[in-house]
Amino acid sequence: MQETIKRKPKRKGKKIPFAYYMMVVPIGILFFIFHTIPFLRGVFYSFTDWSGYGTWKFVGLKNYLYMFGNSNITHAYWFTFKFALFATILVNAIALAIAVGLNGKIKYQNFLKAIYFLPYMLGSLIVGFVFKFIFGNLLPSLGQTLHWGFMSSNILGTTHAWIGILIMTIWQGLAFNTLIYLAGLQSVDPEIYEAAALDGVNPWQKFMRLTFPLIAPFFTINLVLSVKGYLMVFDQIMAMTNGGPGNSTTSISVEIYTQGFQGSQFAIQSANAVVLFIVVLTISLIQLRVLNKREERLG
Amino acid sequence: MVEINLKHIYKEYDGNDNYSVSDFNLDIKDKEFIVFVGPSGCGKSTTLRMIAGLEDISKGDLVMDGKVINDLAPKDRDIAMVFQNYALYPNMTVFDNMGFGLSIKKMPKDEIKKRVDNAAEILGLTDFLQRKPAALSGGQRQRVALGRAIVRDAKLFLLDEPLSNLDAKLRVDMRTQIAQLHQRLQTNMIYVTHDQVEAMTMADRIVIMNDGKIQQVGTPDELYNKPTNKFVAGFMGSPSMNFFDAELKNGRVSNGRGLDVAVPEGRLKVLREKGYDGKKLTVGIRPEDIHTEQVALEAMPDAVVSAKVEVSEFLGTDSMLYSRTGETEFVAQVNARDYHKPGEEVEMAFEMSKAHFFDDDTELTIE
Amino acid sequence: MQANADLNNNTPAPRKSKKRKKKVNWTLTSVMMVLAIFAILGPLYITVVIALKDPSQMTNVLSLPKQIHWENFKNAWQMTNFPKMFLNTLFITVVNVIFTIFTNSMAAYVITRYRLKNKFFNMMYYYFISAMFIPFNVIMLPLVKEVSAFHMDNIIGITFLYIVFGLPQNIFLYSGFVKEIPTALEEAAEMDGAKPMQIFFKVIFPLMKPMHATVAILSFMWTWNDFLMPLVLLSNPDQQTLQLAQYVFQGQFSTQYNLAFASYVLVLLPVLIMYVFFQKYIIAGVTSGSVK
Ligand SMILES: Nc1ncnc2c1ncn2[C@@H]1O[C@H](COP(=O)(O)OP(=O)(O)OP(=O)(O)O)[C@@H](O)[C@H]1O
Ligand SMILES: [Mg+2]
Repeated sequence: MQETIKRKPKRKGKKIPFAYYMMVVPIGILFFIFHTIPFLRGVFYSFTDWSGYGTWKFVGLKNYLYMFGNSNITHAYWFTFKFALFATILVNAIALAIAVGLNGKIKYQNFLKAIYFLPYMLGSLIVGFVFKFIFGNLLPSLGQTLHWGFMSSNILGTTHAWIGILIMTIWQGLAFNTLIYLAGLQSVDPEIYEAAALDGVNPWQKFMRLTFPLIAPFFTINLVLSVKGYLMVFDQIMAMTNGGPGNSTTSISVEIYTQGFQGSQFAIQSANAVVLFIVVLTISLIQLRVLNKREERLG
Repeated sequence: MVEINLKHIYKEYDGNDNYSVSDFNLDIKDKEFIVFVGPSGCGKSTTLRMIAGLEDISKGDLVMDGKVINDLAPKDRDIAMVFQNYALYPNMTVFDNMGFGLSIKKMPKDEIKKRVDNAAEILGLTDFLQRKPAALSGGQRQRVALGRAIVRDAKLFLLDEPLSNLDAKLRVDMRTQIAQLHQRLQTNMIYVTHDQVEAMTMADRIVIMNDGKIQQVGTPDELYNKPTNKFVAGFMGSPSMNFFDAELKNGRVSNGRGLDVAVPEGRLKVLREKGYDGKKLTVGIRPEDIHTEQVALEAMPDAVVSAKVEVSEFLGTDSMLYSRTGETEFVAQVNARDYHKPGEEVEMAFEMSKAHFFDDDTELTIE
Repeated sequence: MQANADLNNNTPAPRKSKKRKKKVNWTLTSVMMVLAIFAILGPLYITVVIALKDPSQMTNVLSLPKQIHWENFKNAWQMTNFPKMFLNTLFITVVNVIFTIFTNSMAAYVITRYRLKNKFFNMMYYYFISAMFIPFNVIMLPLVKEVSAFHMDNIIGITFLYIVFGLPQNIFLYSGFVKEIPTALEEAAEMDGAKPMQIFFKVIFPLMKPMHATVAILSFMWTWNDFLMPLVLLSNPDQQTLQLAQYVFQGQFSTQYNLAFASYVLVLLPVLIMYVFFQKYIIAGVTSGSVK
């Protein structure tokens, strides 16, 4: 009567039904084909002299060495780092200030929050075009009427063009960062402040000793996302200066795009992309590590 | 409706070197209400989940109506289960929660409605059928979980600590409801709990486990009165049995720290035959077998100790006397009329004919 | 267990008592208001005003238009082939959102649930999460070659790529959410006789609703406003998106600012309308996508 089935004596775990594999594997394969393979191919090409078509041969590290000697590329790095640094610091400082303001005892709080978040909804390209007009037409004509020398020319046509891009980036970047800081501030239990008030803490101490440590995780999120995003800066540059004047506002992404597709530096720009990847990865990991450590200490 | 045999079942979890269940043997007869009881982590849920098919069986055979079903998927076992946290589908109404299993089986709509309405009737849930679980009280959710099992009309019900999230009063109510349900449905039920009162009141047979191993299987009465080892004796009954490390000498057990009572002739004979004379052993006596009434003191003159009451708890019909004789502490459960204030010196008689004796090494009952 | 209530729970809780709010700080309110009007709404005001004027009114850019030139929109509409671009973008956005929600949530669910029990799924988890560190700019050169080899340099192709490329981020988002769903629910469904697909679609998928909202919003924003991917992947003038078309037409607008701005307004308008209606959900969705 009894059927005994030969089983391995100790099969561990519960067998996962085939259907579950089918829910992951196909899309995983697609991801591999369209994301991982291009990535690996990019790494591969960076060691060749391929120009995008035709024959190729291995050239070892030549492309990487070339990158360091090429003033356009080194300038793109210099510009991108400078831009990312300023944008990150300014966006986060201003966003934090706005968030503190929004979190104050103000009226129309939700309405104002919605207004400050609005720029997040708008594509950087279009916003870039609008700011290009503001810097190129509106401000100069305003400057001329008011006889303000510094404003009477188009800043995007000068060596300070990057400041124009920076301003536009701040205008748009504030939205997201403010929202996150506000979420952080609102997660703080007001009773903590009441307790602090009883201890006679002044506003500055309150911010530095209480608020800031409590919203440290939100600071981490913003910092990591900001740096990563600004190292990739592309849309607004294409809209406002196309990398000019000269190549003064050419970011790494813009350099990869223009030289990789339109120029003939497919392989060199592949190397550039690999370096960009390493830079982004390193900076993100360092940030996460340092900031998490600090959070732990604060916590 | 079904017979289930668990034969030498073992369970070893990944990343856990010890067996969580080992050499589990049990034959469950038709319509039986079985309760698994034991301390937390002893493997009750694991065993239940192996029966359900939610965990693989590492070794051994699970036989249902003569067929080994180790590798059968849960959905093909025709088993219904009630989870500790109810596991109601939050996005569905009570009706849909109960009817889910039937609609999965593509049962006609009117048949589903008939069954769900019927179950709701039994459980008093008729007014809540269109509500979502979030809008129900704990007791109502519990009943929905039961209802979900009832409508399935399954061969076997598994219940994993279904009452542990309810407050004390509701727990007692639901206990009766489940017992009545069992009467009515006449299906096999396996009920897991760590509460020995639940086990005693509900079970046809109790399986008491410790450390992944069955300690004893039997009716509540057998477990209570004839525990096979010290663990079972200590686990069943509340407050639990008093244990003393003692030595048998001259027909008396004494621990040299205050306890010194005579062992009745019949029990003594057995102990001597087993060679415990002059040896160490463990004596166990339940609190209700320690008496303070005059009659008892007179009837058992050579098992009387004089003890000091340290804490005294009044429980209505009974009172608990946490007492001490010499350096030996014990609890006595006496009639509330024999109430004694803390600090009083009281004479107490140990009804040694009801005492239990355990081997010091094996902890098995000496019989 | 019923913890995964609705989307609104993700918005930071409004501050507890009304009492605390009683004393309104009017100075701060005014500062925040003035800043919002000039700094945030200012550029938008400029955009709309220019779009409504004709070149003769441009001497004073900031003034309200004396005469409204609706024809700017008509001209921009025709010039940029707006309906076609709009439909293209809409197609990408809608199809991407729908497919993303179904496929990505499914993959994320399985990976999250089984990664602790199964090496393969654990590997998949780390595979996708580490892919988050690879920006699109890094893979775009070889990708463009690959895409044209597969003849995917069109709207359908790019839609497909959006669905696939969203995986790492969405797995990350969904994963945090799935962890909170008690496994007993699936076990109950399994005991009720449900098969894996039924368990997912009937029990788990509906529970993920708040996260679907977040993922939908983020995917929508990404595809609607994306410029780089269309720029490098789409070349055929018929197969372009709104953003890309704006870039392509920059040269043709040259100094016809009114036309250009009318065109910008046309592109911004759908998003703005959506924002007006769903502002609360969008803000909640974006917040819960970034902070746990
Ligand atoms: N998934 C698992 N992986 C590894 N070990 C496990 C797993 N589940 C349970 N265990 C171990 O198996 C043993 C038995 O667990 P089980 O859940 O069956 O206990 P239980 O008797 O139901 O306890 P409780 O009354 O607390 O529910 C425990 O020691 C537990 O740590
Ligand atoms: Mg358990």
